[in-house]
Amino acid sequence: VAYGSYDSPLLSDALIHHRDGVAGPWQDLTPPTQHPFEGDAGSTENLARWSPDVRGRVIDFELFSKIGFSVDAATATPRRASLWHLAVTGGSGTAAPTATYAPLARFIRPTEAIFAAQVKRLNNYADLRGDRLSEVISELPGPDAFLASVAYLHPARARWTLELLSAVFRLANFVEMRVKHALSCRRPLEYSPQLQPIIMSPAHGALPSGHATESFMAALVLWELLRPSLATGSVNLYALQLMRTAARVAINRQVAGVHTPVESAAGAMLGLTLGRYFVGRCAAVPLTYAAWEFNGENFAMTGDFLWTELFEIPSSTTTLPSQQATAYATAVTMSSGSLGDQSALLAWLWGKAAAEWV
Amino acid sequence: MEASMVEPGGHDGRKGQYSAITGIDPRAEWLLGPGFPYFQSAGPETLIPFTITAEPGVLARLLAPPPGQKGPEVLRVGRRNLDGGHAALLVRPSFFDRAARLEPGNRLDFFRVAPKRIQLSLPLPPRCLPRWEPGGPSDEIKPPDIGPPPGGWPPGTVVVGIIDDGIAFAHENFLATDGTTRIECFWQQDGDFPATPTVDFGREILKADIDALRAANTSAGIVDEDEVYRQAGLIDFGIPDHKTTAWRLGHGTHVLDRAAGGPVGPVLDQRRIICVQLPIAATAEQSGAGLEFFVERGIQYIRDRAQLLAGSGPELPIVINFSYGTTASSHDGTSALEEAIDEFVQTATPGVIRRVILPSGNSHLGRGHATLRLQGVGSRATLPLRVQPDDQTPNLVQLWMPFAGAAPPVASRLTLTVTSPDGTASLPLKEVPGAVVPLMSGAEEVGQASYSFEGPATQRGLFTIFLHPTTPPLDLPDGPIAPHGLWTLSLENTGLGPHDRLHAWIERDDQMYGYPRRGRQSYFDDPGYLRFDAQGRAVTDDAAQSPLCPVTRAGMINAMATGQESVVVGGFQRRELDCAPYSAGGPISPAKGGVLGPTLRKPDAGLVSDDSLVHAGVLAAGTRSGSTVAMGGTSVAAPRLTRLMADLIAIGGIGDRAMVAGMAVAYEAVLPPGAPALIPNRGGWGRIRVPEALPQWRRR
Repeated sequence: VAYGSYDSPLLSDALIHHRDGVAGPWQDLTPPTQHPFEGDAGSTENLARWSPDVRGRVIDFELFSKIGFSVDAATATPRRASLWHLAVTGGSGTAAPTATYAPLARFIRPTEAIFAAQVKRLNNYADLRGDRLSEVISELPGPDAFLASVAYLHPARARWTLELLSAVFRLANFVEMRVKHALSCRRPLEYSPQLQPIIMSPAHGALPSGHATESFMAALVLWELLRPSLATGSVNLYALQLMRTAARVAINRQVAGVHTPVESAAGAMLGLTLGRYFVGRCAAVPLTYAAWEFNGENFAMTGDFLWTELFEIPSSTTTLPSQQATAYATAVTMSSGSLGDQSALLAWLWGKAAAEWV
Repeated sequence: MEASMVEPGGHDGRKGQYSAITGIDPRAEWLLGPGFPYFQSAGPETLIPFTITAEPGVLARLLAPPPGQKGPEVLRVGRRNLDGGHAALLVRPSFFDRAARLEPGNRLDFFRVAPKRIQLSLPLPPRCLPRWEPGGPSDEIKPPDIGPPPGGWPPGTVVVGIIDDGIAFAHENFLATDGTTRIECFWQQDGDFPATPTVDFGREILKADIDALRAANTSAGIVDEDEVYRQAGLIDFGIPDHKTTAWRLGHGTHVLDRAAGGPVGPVLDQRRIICVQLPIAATAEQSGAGLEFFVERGIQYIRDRAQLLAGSGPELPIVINFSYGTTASSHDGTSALEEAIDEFVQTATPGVIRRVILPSGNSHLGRGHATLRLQGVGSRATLPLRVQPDDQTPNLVQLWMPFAGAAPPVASRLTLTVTSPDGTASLPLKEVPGAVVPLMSGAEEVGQASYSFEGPATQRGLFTIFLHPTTPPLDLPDGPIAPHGLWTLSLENTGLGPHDRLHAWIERDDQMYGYPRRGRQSYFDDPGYLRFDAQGRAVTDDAAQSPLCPVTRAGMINAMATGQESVVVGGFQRRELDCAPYSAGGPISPAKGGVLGPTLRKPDAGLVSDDSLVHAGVLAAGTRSGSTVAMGGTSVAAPRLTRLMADLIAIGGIGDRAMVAGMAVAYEAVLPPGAPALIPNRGGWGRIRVPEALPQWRRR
């Protein structure tokens, strides 16, 4: 039983008896140097002292508090669900910060005809169930183990990277669930009694695919963490393997029967957009980001999920991989792409994680 | 479909409709009748493939446009010989209806009565076929512009042909030293028929296409093989077929890697590969229609492409590996496909080697073969046939009469009655060519039995029994079903001699790896058959059971592997040196009543099919470059010999059955002391052990 836990009445009783026998009468004393330090909201020095779950909530606050959301009226054509970044600057004393909403990602729902055609196509993916079963089951909680098979993500040597990736997954989840709710797309099995997925379809909207969002976001962030350690001019093998891993995870959800290709494509675009945004938010120096729009109405009825349509990996690390425009995914024109004031807390966590890879 | 006539089968039932056509496939009454709906998307427009061997004049007339028409009412999709005596054709089912009609002025009279041999096969989807209407013109097929490299092929070049399924053509193990593929031609028999066709059906992918696809999809030094196969149409999630190259283990990839794969080097550079990817529907085939048509076309494609590759230079030797097995045939080497294989080998230009290597099959313990001998006229025998529940495909049993001599028997020598599990007996079926009886369960017609005389290559009578599925296929929910359970075949001798033997075989009807399960294998459920010994071990030797039991393991050899020229390979365990429990063997029947001699021994040799009793299978390439998977069965023993033969032929070896026999005897002589004894019917002349060609194939 560890000292400090609350589950041992015997230990607490023993401590009473112990103190009675040891402490003696009270003596005045100058307290030791402050631990933790008294700091302002932007101080990072105490972050390492908090327990990981508490630190996670602080990080979440930094991320979530800058996300906005809006959805068009039901009569709007097309009707968009929009994610926004709240670019915040200043704020001190009693003066409020200045805040501006800037676009982050937008979604237009595919038509019902597209979904129906996509589900018909999805039925053909069922052929691979016998081949992919172990992957489908192992990926139920997420892509972690598969990304960890590309980059060495052991808790003993990559604890801060794992914390950073946890923040990635939480932001992806926070955002994707709001979009899924707004679009409320039906699950594939709701279009046909014959699809019969091999895992339970989660009780939330189908578009965008959460597994695709999280996998692609994590793959992009992980690659950015690894990038400084990769030889300049070498082949982009890490980027390729991380993206192929993300795509495989997304496609396995199609094989299982819980997502159609259009949902994977929407998730991949969101994940790539959020990944770039996250890296920008975590940077110590101001960076810009790009917002993207997914237009599901432009996704071909017989379209497939091809990640290489959405993301280009140049052959050499001297050129950075980049998101690609397609008929259904386009960059949003923005005036600045400025993120506002940088977050010292996020930059701190990024720095800790990045230090594990150099 | 109702049979049209009652005569002249006497009381033996009705006369089959199609038996009027001389030399028609014995399965025609079923495949064009009650069994027709089991073809995918069957309808009056369906084009049925068949091969025909006949006098050239008959074929010429068949291929001539009828009066007032632009083209013939058959579509020719290949030729075996230049003499015109053999053709591969497509027709609508109504063609056979018209040909069979005995009516004045029938324009197809000549076709009905001409001596010939017709073998039906299963239809392909229309997307794979030329756009063609009977009587209309057909697309011109132009062979591709391929030939030898500048300076010609180096000495030692051998063409390795593979006829299989799931062949991942972009795999790095099939590359040459220069980084381009060694796969010269790839025929996807169920590919989408292109606008400018180079093959009669399906589509062809050439070396230049493969190299271009690999180059266009390379990123960070790695080929996106998923994308290559998607762009090539092999993985198309727009169609419901099984996608063999999307799986981790591809049968044809494993087999081809064993036959001709490996890291680049000067020797492998001289193994040029020609692939035939059989239609998915043919591999999944469980209707009883057979895949022989596609295999025969594949052999001819490999031959034709090898000739194009040779150009004006010397002809190239060819070794074809065909790792497939079926179970029902006469097992005397006279099937149409076996004739085609023999002819392919025997018609090679003198001095140019052509070989075909097949596995002996995995059905040793399948309980699908029975040998019956009836004592004296009037004696009876029964054969219990277990038909499984939940079988969505028809079941086929063949009962072969002994060789009849020069002419068909005048009087019936055997009467067959088929009794359903509920005790309903069929009408007796006698040895009357063309006779058909319905098989009944209560008042329901649930199958049919027919008799035909197979000649002149075979000269044996054949009873064919077809049963409907025991559960309706999902696309035919209202179709007839046969009861599952114990069916009984009752035989009464009305003229067979005491030494005459009858052989019964059940056609293969089980699941292929990766394919959806539709069929279930029926078997002869004789109480005398001993499956397990007192310790619970599987019995692999017939000697352990009563010699009175008609159901044997012997003779379960691959039904396509009993010809004269095919080199046939059984499987053994590398570590234990035991015959693999599933590895099937002979004896086969001698053709035309000949004597069973040493040259009829099949298989010819044993090669490793499992690394050990516990390490099932052997290692070779998975579908994606860099992956290795284990696969077992005699399918993987055959390509070991293919590789060895190609290497020997490259340095002047003959590579025929006699050479393989000699090698097997030599290898057998140097087995370690204490090795289990050779089982000739299953291990051939001996066990050939060669070191693994690639380090990644070794395992402990």
